[in-house]
Amino acid sequence: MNLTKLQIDALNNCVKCSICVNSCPVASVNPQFPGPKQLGVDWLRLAQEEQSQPIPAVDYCSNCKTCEAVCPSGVHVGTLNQLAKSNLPQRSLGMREEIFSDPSLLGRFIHIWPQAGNMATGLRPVKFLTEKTVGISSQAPMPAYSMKTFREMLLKYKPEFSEIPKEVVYFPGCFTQYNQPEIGMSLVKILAKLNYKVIVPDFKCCGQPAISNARLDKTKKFAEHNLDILRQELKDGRELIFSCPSCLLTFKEEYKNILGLQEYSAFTSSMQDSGQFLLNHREQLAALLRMKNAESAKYAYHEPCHLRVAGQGTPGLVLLKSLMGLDITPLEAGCCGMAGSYGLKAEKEWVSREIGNNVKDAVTNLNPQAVITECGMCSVQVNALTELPVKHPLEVLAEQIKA
Amino acid sequence: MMVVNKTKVMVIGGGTTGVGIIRDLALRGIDAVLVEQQDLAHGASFRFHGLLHSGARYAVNDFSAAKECIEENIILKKIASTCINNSGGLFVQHKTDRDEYIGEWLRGCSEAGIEVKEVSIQNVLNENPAMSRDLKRIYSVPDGIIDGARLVWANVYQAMEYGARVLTYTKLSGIYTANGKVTGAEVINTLTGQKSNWECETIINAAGTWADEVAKLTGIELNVTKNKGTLLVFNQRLTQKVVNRLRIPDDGDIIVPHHTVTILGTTSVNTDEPDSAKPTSGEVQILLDAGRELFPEIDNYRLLRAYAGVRPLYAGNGEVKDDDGRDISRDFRIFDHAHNGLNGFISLIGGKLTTYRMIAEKTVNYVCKTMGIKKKCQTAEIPLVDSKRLLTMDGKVNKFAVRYGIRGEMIQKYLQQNPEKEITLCECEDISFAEVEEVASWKSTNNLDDLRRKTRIGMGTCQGLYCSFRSLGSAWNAMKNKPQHPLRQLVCFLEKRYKGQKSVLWEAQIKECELTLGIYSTIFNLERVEENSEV
Ligand code: SF4
Ligand code: SF4
Repeated sequence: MNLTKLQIDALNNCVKCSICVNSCPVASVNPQFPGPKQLGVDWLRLAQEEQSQPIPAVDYCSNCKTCEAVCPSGVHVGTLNQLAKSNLPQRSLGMREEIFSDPSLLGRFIHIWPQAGNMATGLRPVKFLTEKTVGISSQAPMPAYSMKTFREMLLKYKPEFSEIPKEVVYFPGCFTQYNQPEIGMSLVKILAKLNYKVIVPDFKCCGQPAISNARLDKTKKFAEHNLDILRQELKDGRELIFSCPSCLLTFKEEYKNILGLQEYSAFTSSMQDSGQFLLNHREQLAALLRMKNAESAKYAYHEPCHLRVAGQGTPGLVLLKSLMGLDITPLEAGCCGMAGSYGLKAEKEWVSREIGNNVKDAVTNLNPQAVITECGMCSVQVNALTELPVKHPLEVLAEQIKA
Repeated sequence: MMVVNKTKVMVIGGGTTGVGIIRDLALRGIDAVLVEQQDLAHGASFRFHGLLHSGARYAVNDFSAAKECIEENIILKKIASTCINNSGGLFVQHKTDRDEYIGEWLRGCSEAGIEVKEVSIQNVLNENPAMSRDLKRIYSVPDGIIDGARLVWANVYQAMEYGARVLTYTKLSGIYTANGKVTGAEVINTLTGQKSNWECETIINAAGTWADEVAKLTGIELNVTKNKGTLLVFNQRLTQKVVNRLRIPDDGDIIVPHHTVTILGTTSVNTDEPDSAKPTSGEVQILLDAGRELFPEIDNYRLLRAYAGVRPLYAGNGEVKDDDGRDISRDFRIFDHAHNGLNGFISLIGGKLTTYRMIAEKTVNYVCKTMGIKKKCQTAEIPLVDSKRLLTMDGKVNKFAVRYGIRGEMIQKYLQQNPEKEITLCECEDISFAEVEEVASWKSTNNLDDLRRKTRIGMGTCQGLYCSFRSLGSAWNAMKNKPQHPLRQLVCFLEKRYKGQKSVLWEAQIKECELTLGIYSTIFNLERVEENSEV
């Protein structure tokens, strides 16, 4: 096995401190899970001698990347796990992974008749069947599909600009595209007020779900397609913004670290979270807001793991708290356990729920009216656990913008 | 009254030569005892590069050594397969290496019967991308990788099964003679201080670097040149095959991927102090400079430790060419001290690990002749682990037989009784609780460091940070009854692990060390604990 620079550096830098293991949400609820150090770094080192298969338990890694965020030695230990996972013998990864690895496929399919899709995924017999045949949990919360896609809504939206607008490129991601286009529309509307025209090229899925489902070949295909688009669109100082932290992380880190597509490095400085992009215009934005403290509701903020790893801080929280003056408290309860499609898998649903209980408890203690988070699948999980409305910071912000 | 034990032959020294001899004697059915002053394989047998020579390295300078090596290489791959990784080796010519040497070298190899094939540089680079692009020619040779500690123990376990006795931590303190003939010896257990007497007819002095001290007990002067070689250990594999530099043997031209690490060696300098040989920072630099020519990125690989082994070389009479010792043949010599007026006392000097079996055969042949015993050597035919024990029911190689020779079955048994002990204790080297607990319970395991040599705990990235206290904890019942208090064992163990890191302490390794220090000194307060308990 020839190692990449990232893998060589991991073996150089890991000091075996086990901090990653102690922070791993899966290991904390499942004692059978050996944790990132053994699955990622140690296995890699041993595999050089034995040429052995990865430890099968690596399939239980949710790819939340908490381990990577806490490692004091800068080891990309979560990435090592995903690379190991992709080396598992294929038979352990079936049709379910095939479906989950490309949400846009399912999205496009359900979008033919969304009502039927939503109803079907909610029906008990259907749930029972999918659990037995494909291994999708009948207990897990399913994301609902929107009647209209983001692209359809965007086509209808015709903002008026007082002067020639500046341009910014936006990557909506599958969740915004098929499940909750309101997130993207909120962003587009806010940006219009800031005199930005939002360009949404024909991106493919970022490929993060394919990484988690050990389909690196798919991620590669997506990444190359998306790279072509960046080459055309990111010129004249245009920036690329994201509303989904996982998509952002994939573009900024994974294409480089997992696929070795070094060309992405040239673009990473032009990529950021949409919240951060808005924060960069905070004065203008402040002027657009309705009266501060107009609302007395109490909010909780859940920080998605991938936002943390993307190293962007929590711009959404800052927007809502400092700029809008909302009563919003970070939960600081760690991973919600959903991790994309992880919590939907029959054998992993209990792990996901146990992890999520930390978030649930924190929400119960705080007793807010709604929970705010950037990540789509986090919102599905938090909503199921707490039965509270869960919103994206952009949606909350858009509501407060003067007409 | 001291108990008097009886045997026919006493072998002094538990390095590869000594254990080769005890196995040879045992397989011939000759009653024998092996005496070793520390643990087995603590000397040069453990502190070398782990290269099973094909002989190609000696093809020009030492033709007979080359021939012996390839013969033994073939035999060992058969009988000691559990200790050998048949990786194959490469001889690479760097652009700065002389062309003329190659012709001579190829001729030497072909005359010695070493199979050499020129291979495509591009293919080698594809498989070993870390290698230099400045290579002119590459040849493949049947080199292998050999685990010295496993080899020693596999020999000993088999010898014991054939009736041999083995005394570790036992020092020879006196040799009894009568009428110009050896009659016995006094030995002392270095851990308990207990003395015992042995009656024997022959003493074979295979103490390696310490052979002159052993001979001195009878007043005989023996001339042993002690040659220190320093080696570096990297925390990962830089290559999958052994890499040799295709030039007149020099410093730093052997690179061996040994298990999970890479060993780069060696230097060569004569020394007077075999017990306190330490790698110097100068030697570390020499090795890195040499290594960099073949692996340009070598500085970007983390160094775990550096160590020095001392090779006993035959000094002969006036044959020494220069100070660095490399021109002396490392071939071995048998000295029958009958020439000094003492019958039944034989000393061995020299030899290399690859030819240990042959050295043992020749020695025991000679001893048999002097003792009038007519028994044939069988060490080249009987494998160290027979195939019945090596293979599992479904025909796969049994991992425990590979690691522990014929004693692998004891681990297997322990695991059957305690299936929950399958989980990993040492993540760096993938060693289970079962292995540690079972090996700790063996009589020949006196302390944590012995446990390390048998199981490889403490040999990986963390250098004992976790496995040492985990091992003590899990095998506490066995360890608390050893001659040394468990805390003393822990301190000795950690100190030795630290010693090896000292000369390469930078970047990640210094962090590792600080972490270890922090955990043991601050959290466990180990220094104080030791003061307060009567250790
Ligand atoms: S990967 Fe990082 S956090 Fe985990 S053990 Fe290694 S150094 Fe520590
Ligand atoms: S990515 Fe998350 S689940 Fe996987 S090992 Fe790291 S912390 Fe654990």
